[in-house]
Amino acid sequence: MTTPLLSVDGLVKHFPVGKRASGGRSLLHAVDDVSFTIGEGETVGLVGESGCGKSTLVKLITRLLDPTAGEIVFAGENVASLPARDFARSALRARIQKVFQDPTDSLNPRFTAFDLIADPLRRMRGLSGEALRAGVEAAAADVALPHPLLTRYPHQLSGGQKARIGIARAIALEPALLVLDEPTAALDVSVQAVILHLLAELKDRLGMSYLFVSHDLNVVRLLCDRVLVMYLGRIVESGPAEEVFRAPKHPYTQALVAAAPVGLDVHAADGSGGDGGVASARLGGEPRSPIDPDPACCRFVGRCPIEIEQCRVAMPELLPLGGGHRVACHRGVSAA
Amino acid sequence: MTLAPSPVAVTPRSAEGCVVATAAEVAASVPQLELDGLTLRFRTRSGDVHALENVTFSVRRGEIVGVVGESGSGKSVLSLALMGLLDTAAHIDSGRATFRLADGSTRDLLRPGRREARPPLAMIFQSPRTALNPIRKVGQQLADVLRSRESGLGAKAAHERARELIGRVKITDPERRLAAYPFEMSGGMCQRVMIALALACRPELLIADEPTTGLDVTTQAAIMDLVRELSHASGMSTILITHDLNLAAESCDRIVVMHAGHVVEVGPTAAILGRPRHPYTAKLIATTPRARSTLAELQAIPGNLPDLRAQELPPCRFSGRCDRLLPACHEPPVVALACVPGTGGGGAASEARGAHLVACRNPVP
Repeated sequence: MTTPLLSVDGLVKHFPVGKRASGGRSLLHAVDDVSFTIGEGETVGLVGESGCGKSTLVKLITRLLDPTAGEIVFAGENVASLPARDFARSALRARIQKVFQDPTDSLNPRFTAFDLIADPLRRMRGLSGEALRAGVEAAAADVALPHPLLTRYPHQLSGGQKARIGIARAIALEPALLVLDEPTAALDVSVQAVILHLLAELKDRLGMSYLFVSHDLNVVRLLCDRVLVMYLGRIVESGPAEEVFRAPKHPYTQALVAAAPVGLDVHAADGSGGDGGVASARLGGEPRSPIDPDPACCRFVGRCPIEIEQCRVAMPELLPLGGGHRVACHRGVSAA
Repeated sequence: MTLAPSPVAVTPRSAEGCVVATAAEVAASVPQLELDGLTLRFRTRSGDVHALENVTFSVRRGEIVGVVGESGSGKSVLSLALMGLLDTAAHIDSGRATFRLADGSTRDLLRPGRREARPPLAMIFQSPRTALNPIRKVGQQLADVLRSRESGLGAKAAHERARELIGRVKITDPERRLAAYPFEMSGGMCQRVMIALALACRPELLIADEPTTGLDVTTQAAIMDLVRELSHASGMSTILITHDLNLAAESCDRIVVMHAGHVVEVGPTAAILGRPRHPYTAKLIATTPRARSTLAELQAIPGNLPDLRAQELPPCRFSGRCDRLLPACHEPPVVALACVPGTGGGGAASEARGAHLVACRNPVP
């Protein structure tokens, strides 16, 4: 097997949040002992509820935050030890690019579309003049952004066009890894379909790897080869997307899959309507606090429908089930 | 004219031959809200924006009606018109929105009297971050709403009720959250506070404008369960505005499809999604990712919404994007909603009883 493009090993990020009664500081465990790899040209989905550490993990990988511990090996180099401040000037910085969630908020309203796409080329490549113009136009052509729109400001563009600019400025530097943070969450369904097709086409053409963060399982399933499921800072299940969604092994993934709205399929399949899919079990209880969690207790305890005594005394490890499918649950293998 | 068997096989047909609800449903079908022919313009410096034209549908007591369509189709303007929160540039040309109060009297929501108490309506706004007051704690905002509705409510009792409401929308650690400012909470948390605010006044009609956009699937499912439970148990009617057809399919009893300010199709959820008649509805379904589809099956809708500022809008506002276009489609008048062809007469009046209506000259067979 070839070496993966990105290899994350034992990544930890703790945030200090106030003082403990016993002295010392309380720590919020945002990302806890996370390990995974992304291969060349692979699309990996990252799913989980808000507050589970998805965004922190993305910020660690794009090196906008410094990890507390762990390794991030990107293109053969450990970038975790490099302070975030210095990474901004590293040559590797250009090879990890990010598409932000909201195409409106992430674009400078006083920049034209041309300037928005040109900015990373100026800063990272030092391009100017004719070379810059050529680079911008090539990136705009890649995302099928019509040429006359390059002189417009973000407020003169539609949501879909702004999404295209967000993607164009990320791919202008020809990154090896593109991190997509909910790229279609703010878009209309009809525009979402166009952007998803565009992303699939760009990946094939430019050979990039994607880390696709989303909470829309239907979208993740369409685009991703593999999927990582996060719960309170830890990866609880990973494996081939099709397999994980068809036969989820972790009780949290099962709840997630059950909660995804599938109403259209219910109606389209037999036309009988009714409340199919609605009766599925909902997660009860409350998520455990991520502040100073018990290291020997599964994070899902309290919401888990199948918890046993062992779950409160030993943290389950992410163990392989075969076929690249891994699950971190004491009952994951037997409960399946 | 031969027709494939209707997917809604269990639903009986009325004398006119139009698909209607069962007798028991008709008995229970007191319309909470009857919206009739709402036409609305925005007057701007660059001309009039014809935001809504002849929008007609009704909502029964305890029913969840989904309003679906792309952004720009007039869904949010519609909800603001019902709430009486329209911009001063908006001008209502015609139409009535008859809201039935608990005592049987009616009120036109489009022309609210100044001295009358506000009818029991509540709205969940789209972006909770902008809808919440940034400089008041969440608990205070909830107490404000509660105390404005119940004058005798003390501070302590209001706090207790706020706490209960926060718990109902499944916010953890309520005491800490009540003392938090909106900026200290995640988007999902703010959305739940917004929902708690809307439910605080025990509304009879809840307008939920994309209530779960930006929430995780697990939270979305819990919130929608809550809305469904309230609708079906306490008889609260709900207008659910969304562009997620999957969500509408799971939650709504009936669906109203809007395109560029027109209602193009109305009917029971199963009929609309199982056998869409308007080409736009069919395209909207084909563009929505599903649990069992592939990327290749996902089709984009060609073209864009027409510019609603145009002086001469085409009679069918979908004509520029439609692949079932007939020469007649370019000719006035605007096609009115009618019972789906092949199921006989009926008319807009049977809509509340569960008829399937479509506004198209060449509907999908």
